Amino acid sequence: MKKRLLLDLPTEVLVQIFWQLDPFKIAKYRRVCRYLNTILTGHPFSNLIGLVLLGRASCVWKVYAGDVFCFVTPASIGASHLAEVQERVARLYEEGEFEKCPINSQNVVRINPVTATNEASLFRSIPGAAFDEPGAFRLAGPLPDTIGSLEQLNSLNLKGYKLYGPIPSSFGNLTKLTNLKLFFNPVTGPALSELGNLVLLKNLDLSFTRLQCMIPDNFGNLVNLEVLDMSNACLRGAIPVSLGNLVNLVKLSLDGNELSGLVPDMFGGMANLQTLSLEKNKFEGPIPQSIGQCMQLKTLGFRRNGLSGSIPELIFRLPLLETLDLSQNLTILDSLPTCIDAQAICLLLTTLDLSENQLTGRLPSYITSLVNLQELLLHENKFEGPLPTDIGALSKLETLELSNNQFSGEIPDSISSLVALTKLDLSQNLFVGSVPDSIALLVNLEKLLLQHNELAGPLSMEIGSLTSLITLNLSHNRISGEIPASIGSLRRLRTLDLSQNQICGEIPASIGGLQHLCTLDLSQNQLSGEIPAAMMLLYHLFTLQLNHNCLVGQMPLEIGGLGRLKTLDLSHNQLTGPMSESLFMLHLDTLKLNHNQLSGPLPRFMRWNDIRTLHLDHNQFSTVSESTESSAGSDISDASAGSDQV
Amino acid sequence: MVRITSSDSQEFSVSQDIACQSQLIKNMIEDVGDADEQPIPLPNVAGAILQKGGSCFPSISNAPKLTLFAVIEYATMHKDDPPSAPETDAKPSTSEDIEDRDKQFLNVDQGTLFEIILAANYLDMKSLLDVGCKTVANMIKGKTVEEVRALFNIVNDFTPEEEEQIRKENEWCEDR
Repeated sequence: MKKRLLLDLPTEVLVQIFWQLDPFKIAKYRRVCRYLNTILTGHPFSNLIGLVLLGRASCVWKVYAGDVFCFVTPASIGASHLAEVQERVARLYEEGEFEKCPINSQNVVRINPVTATNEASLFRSIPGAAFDEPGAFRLAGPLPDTIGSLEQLNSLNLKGYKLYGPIPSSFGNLTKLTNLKLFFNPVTGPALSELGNLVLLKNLDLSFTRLQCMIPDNFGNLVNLEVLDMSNACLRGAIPVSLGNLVNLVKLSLDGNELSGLVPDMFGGMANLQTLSLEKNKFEGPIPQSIGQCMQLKTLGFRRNGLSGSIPELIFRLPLLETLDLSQNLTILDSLPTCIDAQAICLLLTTLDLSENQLTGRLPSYITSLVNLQELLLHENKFEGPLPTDIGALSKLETLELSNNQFSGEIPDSISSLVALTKLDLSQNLFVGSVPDSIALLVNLEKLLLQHNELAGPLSMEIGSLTSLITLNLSHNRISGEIPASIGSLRRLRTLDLSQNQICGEIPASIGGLQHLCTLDLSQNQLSGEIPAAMMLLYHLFTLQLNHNCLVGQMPLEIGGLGRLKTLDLSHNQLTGPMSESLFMLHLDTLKLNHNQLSGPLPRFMRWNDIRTLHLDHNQFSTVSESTESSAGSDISDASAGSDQV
Repeated sequence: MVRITSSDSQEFSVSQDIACQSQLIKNMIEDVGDADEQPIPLPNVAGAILQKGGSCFPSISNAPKLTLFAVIEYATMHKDDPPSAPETDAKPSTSEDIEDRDKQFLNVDQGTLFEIILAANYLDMKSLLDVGCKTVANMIKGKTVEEVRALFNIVNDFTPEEEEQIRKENEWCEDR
């Protein structure tokens, strides 16, 4: 009788023998012979799962710090593969530091596939820091197919941020899962339809992934879902109508994908829906009527799509609605529904954003019943008619943007009741009358934009009480009178634009108090007198435009102190005397002094390497001095011709 | 008593509680009913005698084939063990926990050891199979690939290229 050999034993016995050994140390015996290689790469060894330490990250952001592990199976992932993952992770961690660990079996932690029921028990064997300490460890690399053997799992929250590669189809075996979160990992599809098996799921979060596939029809099986978040996941195609089965949804978020087609009229059964967010996709067609049946809805976002048609009246009747954002659809048109009783309206609304559409008509009277509004954004539409005189009722309003419409009439006095306002933008409309004096009561205003209207009359002295103002733009109106000296009180101001009005008188010296001013444009008015020397204290000025006025006198000697100035336009005035020598300490892009009565020799241009536009024509400069000739070079235009140079 | 016969027609009489440590025999008895009448044939198990322990049984010089007798000896040794716990994979047993008497029992040459394991597998004797596998695992543990080949007389049937490929894949788990 021949003596029995090890390899005479049946496969199942050999499996049992090797099963006794550390599964992450036996993979080397694959090399013994072909038969063992087959056994050690087959079931059940192929079903094992472990984690190997790739390295340690110490990142400026604490959330990314900690040990970084990669999933491994004992017999199928090679060293070159792991090294590649390590390389890739190192690149991902470029910002912070990533210290590589030697990749070997000493750094392997075995995950127990049978008893694990959630991510905490799954990773309990991780050495070092306790699992529940935030940032204790991170996961990187591809997800192994063997993850499907963790059949007891009821919760899997892979807070990796560095997991990539396809979602294994074996995820479909994890039928006890109620909670699956892969957010912020660049994992890819297309195994999504397997996830349709996980009918116990209550919470599915695949946001900020790179799925690059369609939403499978069978997601309609996930009837227990309460939260479905697949925002920013590179999804495409249409929303399957089957999602209408998900009647337990509280939150549905599909923002920031490339989803297209009609939004199915499928929301009628979703009685618990509180958040519906479909922003930044390519949806077309009308806003589904059935949304009006989601009585719990608090947030509705359709921003930046291609929706068309009118806004269903029912939406304005949703009793709990707090945020309604239909902005940037371009083709939502028609006027707002008019026949809503002020009692039935969504009184809790805090944000109403309908901007960048083609809405027409007057503002309906119920708008002023929305007394909880904090943001009312209707800019870039075709609204017309006067503002409601009782607009002051919206006393919680912080932002009111109505620019780029055809609103007309006077700005209602009651606007002064909107004391919470920080931004008031009524620009590019047809408003007439004066800027109401009472606007000075809006002491929280940071931006006041009234440009491109037909406002007339003088500015009130009281404007000096708007001490929070950062931007004040009243340009392109018919404002007359003098600039109130109180303007010097607006000490936070960065931009002051009063151009293209009919303002006269002298520039008040108090303007020197606007220490943070970056842009000052008083051009195309009827200002007279000299340029106040105090203006030369505005060290942050970037742009100074006083052109097309009636200013006289000399250029201030200290103008060279405005070290940040890039654009200086004093053209079309009646300035006299020589060009200030100190001008040449500046690094200007644009200098326009043309159409004045400046005289004297042209000084040296040597330092002006950056200048691109130089207009000096229509003055009384004497002939070009030698020094100019020697240094002017090719980038300086002829002083009298005043051509543009780019 | 249960009468069993080996492939070489040797007949053994063993008490039922010993014989029934083999799930196979137990099933047969349950199928046949009264086992007193007919001997149970075990055509895959030779009755040949081990040259271990005493030499009260004659050896068959060219047949280190197993040995129903050795199996019976093992079963007799363990007849008072508590019934094994219900099968659970919760905690994989390690190759360390072998009782001394089993170590002693399996302290045999490789060929015999494999015969015992084969028989235990055939007879469906879980505890014997388990201890046999652990014994072999202990022989493998800590050895290099080359040592394993030498120990078990295994011929490397890979081409050099194939072997190099596996070596590369396994770099991370080879001992360093």
